[in-house]
Amino acid sequence: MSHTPFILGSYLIGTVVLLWAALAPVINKRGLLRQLKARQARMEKIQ
Amino acid sequence: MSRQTSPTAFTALLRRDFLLAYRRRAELLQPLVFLLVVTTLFPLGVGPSPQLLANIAPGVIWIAALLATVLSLDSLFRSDYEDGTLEQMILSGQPLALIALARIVAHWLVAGLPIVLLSPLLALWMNLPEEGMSILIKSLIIGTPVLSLIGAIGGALTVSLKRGGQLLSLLVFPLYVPLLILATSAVSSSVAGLPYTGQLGLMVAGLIASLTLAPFATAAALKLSLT
Amino acid sequence: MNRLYLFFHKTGSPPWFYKYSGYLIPWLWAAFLVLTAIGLYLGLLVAPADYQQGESVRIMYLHVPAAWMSMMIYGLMAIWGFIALVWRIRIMEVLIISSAPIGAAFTIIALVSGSLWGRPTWGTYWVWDARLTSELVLLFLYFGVIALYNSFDEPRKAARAASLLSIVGAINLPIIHFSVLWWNTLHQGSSIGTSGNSIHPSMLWPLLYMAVAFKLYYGANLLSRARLRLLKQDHRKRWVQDLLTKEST
Repeated sequence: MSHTPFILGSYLIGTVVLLWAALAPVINKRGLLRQLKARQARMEKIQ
Repeated sequence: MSRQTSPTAFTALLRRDFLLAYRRRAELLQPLVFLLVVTTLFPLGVGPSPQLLANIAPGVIWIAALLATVLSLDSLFRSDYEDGTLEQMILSGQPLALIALARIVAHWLVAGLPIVLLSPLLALWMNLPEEGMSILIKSLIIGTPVLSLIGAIGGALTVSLKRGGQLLSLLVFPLYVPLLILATSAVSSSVAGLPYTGQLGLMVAGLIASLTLAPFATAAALKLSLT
Repeated sequence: MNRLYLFFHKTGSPPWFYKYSGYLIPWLWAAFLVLTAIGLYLGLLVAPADYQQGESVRIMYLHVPAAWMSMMIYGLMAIWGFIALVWRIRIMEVLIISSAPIGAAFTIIALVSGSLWGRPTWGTYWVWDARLTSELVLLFLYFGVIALYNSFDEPRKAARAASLLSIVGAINLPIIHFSVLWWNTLHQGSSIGTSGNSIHPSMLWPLLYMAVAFKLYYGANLLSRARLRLLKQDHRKRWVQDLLTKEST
């Protein structure tokens, strides 16, 4: 049995998991900053 | 009071349930993690002998599926009951059985279907032979909707009770017994090379029966709980 | 002594932490990428195949560092948890809960890569031996900490609960490992393990590169998550408001 698909599979899954774990906070942070800025803009308009 | 047609109400409810489920997704993962943990406990409890695990695999996996489903059933109607939405739904004039069915379909998609998807992993842990795996998946595809359907009746009956969750399990486990027996028999038979289509056929019959009857029973139970 | 105290006191301050970790993160990512490139080059292309296991031993360069990280992170969570409970330092609480998903990710990688290593090498995807079982239990412990934290409304209370659970889990982990080891020796079955020989240098270097690389990954990811959590928790505070207005200009 060729070992290559197992090796490739492992590293692929490793890459996907690490990539996803690394990107999740970045994406969430962009969303959060957008939300907070919008709220800040609204507060300033009121004042 | 609503002039909407019933199919539109059905899809509107489904969409709402998915949105709510997405917001509570951490909560929904718990029964699934429970499924994994409970399955793990069996080899630790009975020993890792591959033959023993393979023998008890159908039963263990199905029991773990039952336990995980019961955990997810308690919250089926509870939050809507607590904030009054359930009452509004009953008063809305839409057929309550349809509303119940929408809830059940959503429940199966977020709680039952994941069990089906996780079953290969459970089969691997319990050493279930390859011949049994496809029948296991089929039995779960047929059986988990039945679990949601019958479980909804129990959930509706206990929604207004304080310790509803514990009582729910007591009510619903006896009702699940035929399903458990048929499903595990089908899987064990397929591993042993014996016929299994009879068991699967009966399970399908059970699915059809509960699909047509359970929503009405659930509706009646909801009306009962809210008076 | 005074400067050291001042340093620790400053790092406890969220805006200070936010600012300086922001400088550090790109360097950590860069170092991670460089070391990973070297490690993978050495491991996948330069190092020889194992004479018993064949090519599949190359999975080791992913699996072993991931497993080391999964345990190291949990240990850190427990130590920081203890500090956070005793001294109530908020930054520690943030670091603990930000570490948990990263630890869980490494545990999953260790489990999956271990499973894929097992199939071609020893014939099976899974076996209930001490190491694999303990690693699986570790994954459940991580899930537990994350779930516990998410079920509280108040962040500081949630963090204290998570800290307590981490400490209990960390104490339990060696006990779990040894009990599973004992349970396993009762049954003659499978015991997968690397051969007792010491490791050849051409295989050791890629392993070490990957191990350090993963630590850098953890550092970068941890700081990134911790900053996000601080923003979320402090969004009403002045330092965040100032940051937002500064960014908009």
